[in-house]
Amino acid sequence: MRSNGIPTPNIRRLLGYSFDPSLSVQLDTALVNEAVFKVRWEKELEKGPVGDYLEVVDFDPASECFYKPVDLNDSYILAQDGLMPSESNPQFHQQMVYAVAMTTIQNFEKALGRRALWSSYRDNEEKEFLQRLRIYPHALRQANAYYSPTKKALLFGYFPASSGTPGEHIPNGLVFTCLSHDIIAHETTHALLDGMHRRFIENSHRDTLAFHEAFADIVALFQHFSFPEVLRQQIAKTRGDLASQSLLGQLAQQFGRAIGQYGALRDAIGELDEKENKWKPRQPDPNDYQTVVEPHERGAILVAAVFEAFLSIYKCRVADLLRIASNGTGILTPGELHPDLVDRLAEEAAKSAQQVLNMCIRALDYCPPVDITFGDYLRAIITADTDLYAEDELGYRIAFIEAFRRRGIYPRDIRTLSEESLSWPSIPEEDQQVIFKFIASRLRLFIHHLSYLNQFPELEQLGVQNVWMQKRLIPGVDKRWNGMDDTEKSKLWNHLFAHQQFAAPFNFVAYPSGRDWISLSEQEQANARVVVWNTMSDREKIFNLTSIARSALHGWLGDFKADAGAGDVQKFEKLTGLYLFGNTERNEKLKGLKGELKDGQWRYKLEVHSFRGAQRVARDGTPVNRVIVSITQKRIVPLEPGVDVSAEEEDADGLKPGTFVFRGGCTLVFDLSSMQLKYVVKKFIDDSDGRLKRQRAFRTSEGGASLRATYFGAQSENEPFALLHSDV
Amino acid sequence: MSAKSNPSIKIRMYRQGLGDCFLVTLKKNGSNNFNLLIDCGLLQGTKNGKEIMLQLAGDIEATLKKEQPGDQKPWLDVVVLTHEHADHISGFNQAKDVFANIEFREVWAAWMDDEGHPKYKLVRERFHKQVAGLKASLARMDGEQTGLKEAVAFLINDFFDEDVLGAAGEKPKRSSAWEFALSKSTQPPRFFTPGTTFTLPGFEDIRVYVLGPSEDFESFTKVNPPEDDTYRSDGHAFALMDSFFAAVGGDGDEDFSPELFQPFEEPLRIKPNEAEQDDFFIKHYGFGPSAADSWRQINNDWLSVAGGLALNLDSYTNNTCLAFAIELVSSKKVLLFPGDAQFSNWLSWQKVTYDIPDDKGVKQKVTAKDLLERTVFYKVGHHGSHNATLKKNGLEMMTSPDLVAMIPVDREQAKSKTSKTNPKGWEMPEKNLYNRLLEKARGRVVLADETGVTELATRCKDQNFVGKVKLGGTLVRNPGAAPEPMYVELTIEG
Repeated sequence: MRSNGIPTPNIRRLLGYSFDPSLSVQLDTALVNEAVFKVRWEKELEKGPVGDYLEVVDFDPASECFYKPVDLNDSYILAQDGLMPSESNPQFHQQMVYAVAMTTIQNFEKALGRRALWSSYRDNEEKEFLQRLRIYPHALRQANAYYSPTKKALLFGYFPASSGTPGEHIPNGLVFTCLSHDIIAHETTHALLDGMHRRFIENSHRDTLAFHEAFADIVALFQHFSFPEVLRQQIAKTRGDLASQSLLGQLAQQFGRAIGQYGALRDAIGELDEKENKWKPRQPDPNDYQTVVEPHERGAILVAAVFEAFLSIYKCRVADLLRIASNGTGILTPGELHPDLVDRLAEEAAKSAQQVLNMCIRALDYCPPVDITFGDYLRAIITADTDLYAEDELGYRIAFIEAFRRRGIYPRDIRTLSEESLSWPSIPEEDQQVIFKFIASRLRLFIHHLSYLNQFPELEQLGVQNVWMQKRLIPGVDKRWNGMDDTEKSKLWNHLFAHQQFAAPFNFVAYPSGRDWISLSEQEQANARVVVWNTMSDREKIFNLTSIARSALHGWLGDFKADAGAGDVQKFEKLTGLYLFGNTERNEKLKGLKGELKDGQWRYKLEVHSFRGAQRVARDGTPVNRVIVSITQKRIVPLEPGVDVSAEEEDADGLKPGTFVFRGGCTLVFDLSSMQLKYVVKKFIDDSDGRLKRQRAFRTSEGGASLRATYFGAQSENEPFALLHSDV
Repeated sequence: MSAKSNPSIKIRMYRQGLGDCFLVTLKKNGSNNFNLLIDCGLLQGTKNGKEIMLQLAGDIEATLKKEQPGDQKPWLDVVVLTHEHADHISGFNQAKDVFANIEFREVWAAWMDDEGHPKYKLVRERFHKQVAGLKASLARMDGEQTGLKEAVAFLINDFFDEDVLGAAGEKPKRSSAWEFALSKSTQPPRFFTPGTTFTLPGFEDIRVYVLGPSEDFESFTKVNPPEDDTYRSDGHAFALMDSFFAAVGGDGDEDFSPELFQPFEEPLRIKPNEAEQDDFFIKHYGFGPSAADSWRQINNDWLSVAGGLALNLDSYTNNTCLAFAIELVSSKKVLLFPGDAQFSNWLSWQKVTYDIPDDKGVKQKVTAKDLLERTVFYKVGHHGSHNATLKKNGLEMMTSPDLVAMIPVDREQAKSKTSKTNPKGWEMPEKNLYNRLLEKARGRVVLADETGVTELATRCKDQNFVGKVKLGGTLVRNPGAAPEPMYVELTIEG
């Protein structure tokens, strides 16, 4: 904090490649390949860079060395918008991964309207708040980069460009994946998505891993449109026709070229005709969705669909500009475009791209918690957008539906591809229940605290006072208190309590100078908690409050089970697809679903999987406040139907040989203004839609059968992305 | 022409364990039998392997002696070496002493084993580099990676013998089994390229078609089938790995100059012992297993690529298989011997055509599709693993109602190949493939590990066929064990 009256900067300007180093050695793109990333100013950014979200640690195990961490607060570096782009300077590499990963995080947060959290699950268990995703820019010597869910880290590789077709490289010159905007954005998105939907990395359907890939590509792709120089240059070059070959539609240029293939790795809109060595736009084939299996190629179908939706939206938005510029004909005269027109077209392209990206990210809140398919995602996009904007004034939703239809992507369970049938059905008045109102009103209290994080949340007022939750709110409060600097503590203490503006339990007591937690009185401990709370990062506060809310919801559902009449329970179960109570008939039908006997009733286990709030504003200014929770259940089922596995031994994960985890569950979207349940997105645990059969078939065929699986077993599941991205 | 009687073909599959050994005998009235031995191997590390293979070779010798005239040294007309994996060739070393008494009139192998072929050097160099690189990375893996280490070690040690792997500090060579068999060829060995077709001396009504391997060897590293896989460029997968090999230490190869692949200049590098004293790295990386965040360290993750490489090498070698078909010309029946060819080898057949003169001497085009459609005998590839029988352009094209199949497999042995990460062992034959085979061949699928025809009779309704399947010879698998049949055989009538 400075006292000379100059406000803290909002952004930090950092130079980087807008694509990757290969474009800096081509005359037509060199000028636009260096971009300034405007990264949120992090007050406590340390060398590394190590900030609130990320820590870059540059260890290169294959070369047996470390590289010095960059200090972005060095005044010379600050004065020059960061280090100059350079392949030979590892400190620039660190700056590049930091700048692009932060940009990606910011885009995510902007669309969702809340702070991003990393997944803290390891060994299937939730651990304490994990503040930073770790980034290793030079971790591997291979043509690969991946997000490791087990290490919560991004690992980037480097490799020699192939000698056969070196493209723009010196043969055997090194290619660094950590210098590619697309690869960094892609891997960061994997981590962000895992933070939100940790079950999406389970390969339970052809679409699940493909979805992860596609979504990561979509974010990387549309991020290109936020670089104004690139956008203007490409629009001038393609004369406004973004559907023709443009850099903006391509992913990971250098990577693709260096492994010996012309053009980019995954080209969203077209491909190189191998015979003619010419680029051609890709014609959508309605059979693609049925026939393409490999996750990247399958993912490319989804990317192409979204990109096409974007193009239609863009074309619609610029039609008037083109007419104005062409005396009403809409056909531009040959030659270069007027620079003003280029600027206007670029502006429209940037806007359309941002809106499409927002739609894609917002849809994540409306996805089922497990087993996502492309069809589900389309429904989520349409629902999310409808929920925010009742009218589709600009035809965005139609553009999406059309683009998906052209690729044969249909949700399984609907009859027509209209907006109404695609949107998840809203829950009618007669299906609303007391429990929904109860849940919504209680969760609203949590949402309130998530918006005012400085205020210490009094668990009593949240109605969830218990010892475990008290601990969860500030884990290790004693150590934190003891570890704090005495002067700082006393300053905070006096600042917080000096004016006696607090009611009990925060009565003013004198600062317990120099005393450890254990010696504090109950009153002092209550105040000390508030002091420690004020030293915690916002994201940790959110994480801790979120886990308390989830645990509270779990408890309420338990109470509901005990209190509610049989009719209410049945209605609840029917609506959510969850099963709460067991009986002989059900135990038979739901084999492998664990439960316990409590108060004379058999209760099935369930997990409150996530809790999040979404506060948005509709076009007409009305606030749209939602709280989203997902609840899941799991069954251990044999791979082959009817096989009795009861005698087999369980391994550490509760799995027996020849079995797999079959998950079901629902995402519930509550409207906080009406206190009603708005949408339910569910995957049946009872297999009433035949999903179990399909999953079995998938797991025993393409999902399981690979030479790798023959020799290596399921070991590869620890690092699902390591293999997916690898070339060998 | 009509005066000639149609020849018949007897196929004998040996029951040595997980490995291939087929004695194919062409018979015709008025001629000597023509014997082809297709492979002779057993997986490395099989218990009592040498003794088993000695007995097997003894059976071959005795069989030849019985049918061949006079005091002449027994001979095999052709010995086919499909590829250099131990489970296909080890017998030529293990039972060297017996084979020394048998003449190999002509040895057949694929073009890539021909030293005179322009691509030979490149192929061998790449192969050796991979083997050396893999061995070096195995040596560097630590406790955390036992699963991976086991699996990689399996892939290397089970399929290659010490010669191929090379002793420490030594350049790998060709396996001595391979060298031995090749050197025994009385006629110069023949190395085949796809598209080659010919009839056998004295058996003009039997024609051989060479299907693979394609000379486009860059495609060999493809493991799985996507047919229009456009973005992978496997030819360079090897080159891309050079920096990895340099880091694991290679074998002192000058191509692997460790300095060449260092990403940054020397002064920019901080040695681990210096980093261990540095506050930043202590706090944010932590050293040793007791560091707070040791679960996030990446000391060995970079070695995981060795798993992919080992698979690559395995597939690569399988794809070098000499794949061929034998046709009974007058009845147009085809017998298919693909070795252990994997998808890219199978796929490449679709590009091959043959010009065959018909009765009137007019050339007719024959394609791989024709041959597959007429296949009545299929030697199932790679012991029935899922990836060595192509679906659409393979088994599904075999539409003959007379199709029968033989799987050289030992299910117990395959299952015993367990590791920490793969407790079930190897799935051979793979369930889906096996079920489809049963459908296509109407149950006429013979497995090498069955000691009688009881199981065959339950899965196959064609009692006539079951009656033709004969077991014979004597194999004593372990000292003191009960004797069991040495082989199972059946005859395809012309």
